[in-house]
Amino acid sequence: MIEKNLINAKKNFNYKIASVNIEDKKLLSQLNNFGIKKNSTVKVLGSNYGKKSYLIQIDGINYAIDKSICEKVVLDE
Amino acid sequence: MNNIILLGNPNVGKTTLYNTLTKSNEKASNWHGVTVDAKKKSFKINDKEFEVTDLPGLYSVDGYSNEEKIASNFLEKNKDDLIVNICDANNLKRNLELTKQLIDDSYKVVLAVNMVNDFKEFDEQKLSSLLGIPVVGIDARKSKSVEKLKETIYDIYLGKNSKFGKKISKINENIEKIDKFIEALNNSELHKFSKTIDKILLNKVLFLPFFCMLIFLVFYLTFGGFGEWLSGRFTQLVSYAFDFISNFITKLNISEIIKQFMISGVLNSLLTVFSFLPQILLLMLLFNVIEDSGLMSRFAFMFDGFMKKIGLTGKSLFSLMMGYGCTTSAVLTTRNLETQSLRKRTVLILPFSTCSAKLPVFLIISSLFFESYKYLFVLGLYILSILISILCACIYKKKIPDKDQIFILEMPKYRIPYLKKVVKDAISIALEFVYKIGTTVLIFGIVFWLLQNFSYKFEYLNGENYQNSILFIVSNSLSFIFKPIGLDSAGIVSVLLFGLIAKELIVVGLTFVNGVTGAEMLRESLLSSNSVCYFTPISSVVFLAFILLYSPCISALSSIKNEFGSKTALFVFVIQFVISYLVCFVLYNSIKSYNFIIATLVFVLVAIMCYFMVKLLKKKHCGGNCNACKKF
Repeated sequence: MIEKNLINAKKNFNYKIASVNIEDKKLLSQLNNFGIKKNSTVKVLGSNYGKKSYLIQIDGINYAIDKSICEKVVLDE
Repeated sequence: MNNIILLGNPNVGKTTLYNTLTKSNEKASNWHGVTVDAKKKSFKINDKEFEVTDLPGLYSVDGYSNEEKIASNFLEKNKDDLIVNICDANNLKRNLELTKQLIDDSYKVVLAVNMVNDFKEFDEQKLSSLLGIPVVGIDARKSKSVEKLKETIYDIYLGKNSKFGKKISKINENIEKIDKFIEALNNSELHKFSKTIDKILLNKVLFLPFFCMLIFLVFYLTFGGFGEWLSGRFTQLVSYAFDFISNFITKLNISEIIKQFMISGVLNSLLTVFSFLPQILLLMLLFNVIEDSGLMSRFAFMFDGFMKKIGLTGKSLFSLMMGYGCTTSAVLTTRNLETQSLRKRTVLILPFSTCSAKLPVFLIISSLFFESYKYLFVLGLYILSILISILCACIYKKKIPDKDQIFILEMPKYRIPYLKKVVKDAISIALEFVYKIGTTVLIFGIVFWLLQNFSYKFEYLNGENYQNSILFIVSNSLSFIFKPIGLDSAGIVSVLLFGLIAKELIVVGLTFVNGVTGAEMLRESLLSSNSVCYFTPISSVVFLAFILLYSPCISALSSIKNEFGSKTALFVFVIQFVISYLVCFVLYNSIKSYNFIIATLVFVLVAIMCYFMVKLLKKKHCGGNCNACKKF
């Protein structure tokens, strides 16, 4: 079964983050500061031209986040 | 304890508070990473002097990007200073993560919650008791409660306020109460407003037409319609001032050479460029409105995909947009980019962002033959520079390789631009422009005048025998270089040479060469074939294209040298010159002979020759990872 992540998530739906599969510890810590961590509530609002980045709402705040990161954010079904 | 550090997440209002406290006018705007270096200034509270440092924004005390590391290193070295931690009331949950880290690391922290005006109620006492540190709700833009913050700082200095030292474990016990406090704040109308606008604006179908319309409107307002009307009135005022002062000087009982020097040299240098001030002011005002509204981050997000294709990221767009004001300061903003290679690629195409100093010459020359659709013509020039920069970015992407860039950017809330701040920022840019006129332009304007009016034997030429002047002889000996692009007149060559010092000198130089005063007389002289320097429709287009693309001014090159070393600065100087030359060669020959194919073939041939010459000169190495590549 394909894991649900921020790329294949339904738009404008609230999800809880199950895990963030990033090995780079500094980047992971930075993402945690943005609220990208287990149990945070996220919502995919849209993407840009070429779908290189996604507009993600985390705890009510909008962020533009790279596709390569979005792929690694696993969501609870 | 007299030192204060302003610290917080990016785009929470640190520099705005710094400006309010110290009565400064540092650049502050509604997008991430405006401040890229530590700034220090002192201010007084009850006659006691405090030194305040404004640091770049950071999300955690460790720091991740280049400018975050500047902040975290500074913090590490100044552990005993009082930290005024600024948080955005609209985004308190994420902002407090840094506050908690600061408390955990035993820093002395005062929490200044900015933009509390967006909420009906903000209970600072409650938050203060939950966190165990002093809390003040402020609105830095409107200077609301800043006095209260100063009082709090002063009380801490006197030792009256010692509300510190709550253990992080104790704060963690209150986490639910803190979350509830934040949740109560989150029901703001501002969130809903931003979300609604984003839904419409960040729609892929609607975004591009909106962007194009906005840019067109900015150019129309600045160079057509209102801008033109404003410029006309101001030019009249300047010419009255010129007449008045020059009449006064004429009546003085001093030598004729000194009179000529003061009128044609000093006064002319100052007032000719000064008459373009309203349009520069208007363009900067409109750019400030766009920046302050929160649109810049949306542009960065929407264009990120495209920017990645050419080896940049959405964040590079901030530096490139800043380049439309001044290349020198835009070079510094590349510090908020993640890697050195990305910074370098951005800096190499920065000179294509047409700086405001080039505007006077665009306006003068475009009005000669394209008066009725001047704003479209100037817009066309900007589009040409963007197309060339895209082409160069694609080449640099291959030549300066890098791993894929990760793009994360917080979208600030939309705000109705605060008129006072927008006007103040535009005026500050205008004052910088005036300062530059009074210093660089004036000094080199005088040098230009002296070289033009004196022969090698130091004889005063009195506006005659221009061919004997030092400037003419030097320019004439170099004019063969510009012959293939149709700009071989000694007058044009001399202004192009002085334009390397500062772009504002181009217009001043044109007035000197033609022996006229003021913008209106200059226009007339540039159309007359009896003038030393005159333009035809073809030469005016080629001249503007050359100015648009050629080497940046000395201060921009020195800024590049400071950030990336002299080799990069020299490379920028040479490559910009070569590119502008090649583009103008194609442009001139295709317009002149209507033979675009031959011109392009010659262009390709020259480009291939240049490429192989560079290859021959360079040793064969890894192409990105060896020391030689890194030094480049």
